[in-house]
Amino acid sequence: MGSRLALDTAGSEHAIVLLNGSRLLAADRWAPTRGAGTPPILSRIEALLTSAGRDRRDLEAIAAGRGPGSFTGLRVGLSVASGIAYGRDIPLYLIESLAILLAQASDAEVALRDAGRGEAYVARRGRAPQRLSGEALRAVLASTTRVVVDPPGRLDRWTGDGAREIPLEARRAFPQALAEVAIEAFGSAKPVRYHELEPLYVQPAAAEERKASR
Amino acid sequence: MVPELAARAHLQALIPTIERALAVAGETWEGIDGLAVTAGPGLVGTLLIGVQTAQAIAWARGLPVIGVSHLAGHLYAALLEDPALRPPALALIVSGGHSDLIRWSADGSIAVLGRTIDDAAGEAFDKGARLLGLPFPGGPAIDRLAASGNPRAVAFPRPRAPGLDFSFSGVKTALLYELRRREALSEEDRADLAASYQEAIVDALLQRVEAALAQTPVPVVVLGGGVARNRRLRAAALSRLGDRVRVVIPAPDLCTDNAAMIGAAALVEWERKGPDRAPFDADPGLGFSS
Ligand SMILES: [Zn+2]
Repeated sequence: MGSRLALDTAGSEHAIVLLNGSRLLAADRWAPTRGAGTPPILSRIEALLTSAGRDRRDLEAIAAGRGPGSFTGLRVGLSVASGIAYGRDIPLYLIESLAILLAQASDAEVALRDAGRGEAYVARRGRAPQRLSGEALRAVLASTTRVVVDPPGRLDRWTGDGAREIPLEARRAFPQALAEVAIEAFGSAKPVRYHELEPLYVQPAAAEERKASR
Repeated sequence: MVPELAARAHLQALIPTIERALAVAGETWEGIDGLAVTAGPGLVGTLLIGVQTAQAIAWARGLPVIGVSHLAGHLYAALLEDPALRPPALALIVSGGHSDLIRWSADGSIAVLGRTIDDAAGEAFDKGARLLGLPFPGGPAIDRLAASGNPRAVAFPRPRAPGLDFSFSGVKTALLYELRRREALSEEDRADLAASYQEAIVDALLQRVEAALAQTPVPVVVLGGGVARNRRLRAAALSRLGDRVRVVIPAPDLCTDNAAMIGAAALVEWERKGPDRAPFDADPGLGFSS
C-alpha cells in the first residue's frame, strides 16, 4: 500500500504526517524540548506507521520542511528524511516551512517566524521568504491585517499590535497544514538530489542588498 | 573552522560520500550488515547530522546501528594495522584537539592516564610553525623542515606537568624567545629550530609513555591521531620503546581522521555490547567509551 510521509521540524511545533494519496492516514505533533537532546523522531515515525497498519516498506516518497527556522530542528529533520529516502530508495521532496504556516489560515496574508535577535522570517503569499527586523518588519505588517505567527502570540511583542495575529484557535492544525503543502509538493515539485540538500538559510535583508550591489 | 558552514557542507556531502565509498569498494547495500557512526566528541551540529542520518538509513533498511567514540576510533585504528592486536596496551592519542595517554585494559575498558593541561600536541606544532613562518597545518611543515635540521641545535625545555599529564605552552614560549633573541635566520637556522622544537615535543610525549610503562608494564604501545603521522615521532617511538614492547603505529592515512577507524571501533564495541537498541543522541563531550 503506497504511503507518503511528510515532516517539518523548523518551528515551535514539529509534526509528521502519513498520507495515502491525498488522504491523511495518521499524524503526530510535538513541541521540541530545548537542551534535552534530539527528539526521537524515528520512533515517532515508526509508531505513526504502526498506528496506520503500515511499515517502512510501504513508503513511496518523503517530504521535509527545509525552513527557514531552527538550525538544530532542520538538521535533524533533513538528516532523518534524507536517511529514510536514501535507505528506502524513494524520492525526497523539500517544502518551504513558512508555506505550512500560511496554509494554517486561508485568509492569512503573511507568515512570521521568530528568527531570534529581534528578527523575523517573513513570507508573503507567492514571494520568497525574507529575514526582516525593525522598520522593515513594521512596514510589511502595516499593510497587512491577517498574520500567522510562530511561536503564537509573538506579534504583540514585535509591533505592540497583536490584534493582526490570527489566534491559534482560528488556525487549522499544524499537521493538516503540513499535509496540504506536502500533497502539493508530491504532485508538482521535483525531488531533491542529495548533494543539493540544504536548509533554507534566509539572510538578513541588508546582507541580500549588499550581495546584489556587488 | 566555521561550525555553521561545516554543518551545511556535512548535510550535502554525507550521502554522496557513502555512495562513493560503496562504489569504490564494489559493494552494494545488500552486502551491508550494519552501520557505525561517530557519536562524539566534536561539534554538535555536524555530529547530529551523522547520528541522525545513520540511524535513519539503518531504520529504513532494517539494519543494526552503533554509535562510537571518535577518540576510541583513533585507538582502534591500530587494529586495521594489526588485526591480531589485543589489550592490555598503552596508547598515545595525539592530534590537534587531543593529547591523551590511555590504558586499554585486558577487559576492554579504557582509562585516561594523562592529558594535556594546555595545548594539544597538534596545536603546539601549529603554533610553532606559525612562529617559524611556516604554512598551516604546522605538523607536516615542521616535519619537512626539521628533516634537514639538527634536533640538538637548541635545547628547548622539556614540558613540565604533574604526573602523566602533558603541557606544551612552555616550549612554544621558549621558541618565541629564541626567535626574538636572534636577528636574521638562515634557512639552516630555521631547519635547526624546527628540528629542535619537534624534538622537544616528541621527547615530552615519549617520556610520558616511558613513565607509564615503568608504573604498569604492558606488552604493546599504540600511537594514533594526526600527530602520529610525524616521522620523527614514529621513528623515535620505535627506537626508544621497540626493545621493551611491540609498537603499533597505523599507516599515516589511518592516523588522521577517517571513517575506517570508526568501523574498526564499531567491531570492537559490537563484540562488547552489541548494537545500540534505543535511538541514541550525539554527545559532543563523549570520552573514549561510548
Ligand atoms: Zn581525530
